[in-house]
Amino acid sequence: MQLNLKKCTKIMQNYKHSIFYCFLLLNRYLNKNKGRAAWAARIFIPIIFLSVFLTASFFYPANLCGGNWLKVDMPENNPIWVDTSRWETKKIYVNDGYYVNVEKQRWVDTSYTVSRGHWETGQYRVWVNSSSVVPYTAYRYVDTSHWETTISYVEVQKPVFFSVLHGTDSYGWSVYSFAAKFTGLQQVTYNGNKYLANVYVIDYRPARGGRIYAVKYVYIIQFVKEQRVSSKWVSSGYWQPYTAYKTVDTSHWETRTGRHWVDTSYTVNSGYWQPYTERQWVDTGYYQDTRVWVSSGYYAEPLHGRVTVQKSPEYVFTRWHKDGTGRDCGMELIVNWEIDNSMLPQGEPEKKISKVYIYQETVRYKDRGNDTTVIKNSNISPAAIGSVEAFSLFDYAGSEQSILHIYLYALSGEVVHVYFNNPINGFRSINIKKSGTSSSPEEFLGGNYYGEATF
Amino acid sequence: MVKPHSDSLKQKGNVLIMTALLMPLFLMLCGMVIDIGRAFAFKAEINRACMISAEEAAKEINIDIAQQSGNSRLAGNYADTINKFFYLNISQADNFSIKSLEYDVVDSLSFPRYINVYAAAEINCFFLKLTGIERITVNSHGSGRLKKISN
Repeated sequence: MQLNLKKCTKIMQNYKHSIFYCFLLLNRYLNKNKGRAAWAARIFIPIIFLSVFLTASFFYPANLCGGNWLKVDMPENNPIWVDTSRWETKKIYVNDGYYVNVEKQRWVDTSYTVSRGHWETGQYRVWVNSSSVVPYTAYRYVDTSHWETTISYVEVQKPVFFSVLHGTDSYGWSVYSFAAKFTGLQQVTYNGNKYLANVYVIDYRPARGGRIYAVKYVYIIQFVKEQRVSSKWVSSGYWQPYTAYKTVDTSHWETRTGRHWVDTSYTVNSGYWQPYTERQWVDTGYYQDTRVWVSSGYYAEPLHGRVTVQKSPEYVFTRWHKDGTGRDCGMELIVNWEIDNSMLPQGEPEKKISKVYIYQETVRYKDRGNDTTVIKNSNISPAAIGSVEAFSLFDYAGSEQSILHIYLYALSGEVVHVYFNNPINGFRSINIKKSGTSSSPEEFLGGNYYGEATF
Repeated sequence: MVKPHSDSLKQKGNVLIMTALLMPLFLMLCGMVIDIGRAFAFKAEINRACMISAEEAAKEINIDIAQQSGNSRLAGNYADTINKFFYLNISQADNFSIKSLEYDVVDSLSFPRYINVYAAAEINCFFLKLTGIERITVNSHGSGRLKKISN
């Protein structure tokens, strides 16, 4: 029997394998034992194991079909900062230049005034500043606008209900009421008030002779005069005269007689051009294409959705080994994603994956460092649901710490990071001693083929 | 007058006789050494061929099964590999013939722990023929196993 502890541990990591392995062990045991009981067990045991497998599949579908080997960096539920900072090429003005000495000339004014004059006796005109205050009639508006109250009487109709009989009493009317005829609605005056009344008349000549005549007024409306008070704004006013005062300029020239100063001052215009040196700036500034870092970004809802990864084969080998068809061994990868946009706030655009970056970080043995293999790094047509396929060859064998990273970049800047341990197998052969070895046959690392992760 | 030394002449005669007697023995001894040395040299060559063929055969696993299940099951052509590499590493010399080439897989093809290759050869003798030994038979054995690249 080839079962050992290491193998058991590895197999028990997976429900599917453990169920099948137990089945195989029992089957081997039964093959060695013959008899009726063994035959019965050979029929029932597959049925029991199939039932257990199906039941487990129902409760743990993910574990049975793929396991939880696929990990994802869960984005936080808070809005995330989408950094769109970037380098941009802008035209930046570069201040540049130099000073030059320029020879110039400036006018130096040496003009001067000769002040002189003399006193004279005689008539001379002088400007006298003066003013006086004079009254005048001005007008101002006196506003007499006011509210005026008006009282008026309006006839209104008031409902009443009473009856008045003429020519009989209430008994007599009741006796001959069969002969009463409605003659219409009439306006009548009763006790000095105006009413509207329905008028009924009995004009009956009985067979015994004579005449019975009576009138009944049924008053239904009374006309009543009511007082109405109303106010209205009356605009009115007038211009009122009043006495105002104004200052009148009475300045004037006066001819005076006496001693006065006659100014005979004059100005002598003179000057010359003086050379001087001026320091002038010659601007040789220019625009230069410069890469500048533009900080920008925005807050967005984190991505939610599902990623599935299919890997083939389950155990990956380096390219230096050939498969059954003679091709280099490698790994085929299919990554599917489905972004859930149903929870997006109104107005936020639908999130789509626009770039996929897949690479393998192989941790080499004997501390030889890590080897990075880029499997796919390309922009794709933005899509909320999509998939990519890639085939990759690996140069070096790597331990179970080797990780395959899958980055899905959304158009709006968010990133989903899915990763899983993906050891790369390699082998060689050695000679051993004549006595042989008790070491178990080699088994390779890996075994994952389908994984699913939600984020 | 000096008389020749009669003892010296006697000694020369003895050496001649001794040489005549021992020379065949000496030549026979040399022939044995040569033939047995050749046998050892051929044995080393066969041993090397066994080891190389065992080592190369150990690598002949069914890679498709290995990719699916992670097991190092041997492929069907491992026997061809043994033959190929064994004879590639044997010099085509005269007076030398391979009498048998055998191999076995320890445990099973599904779980091969290691492969043993056994070979037997006959070497025709040159000098030992004189003593009636026509040929020397040599046997050799080599083992090889698969080794996963790891720490």
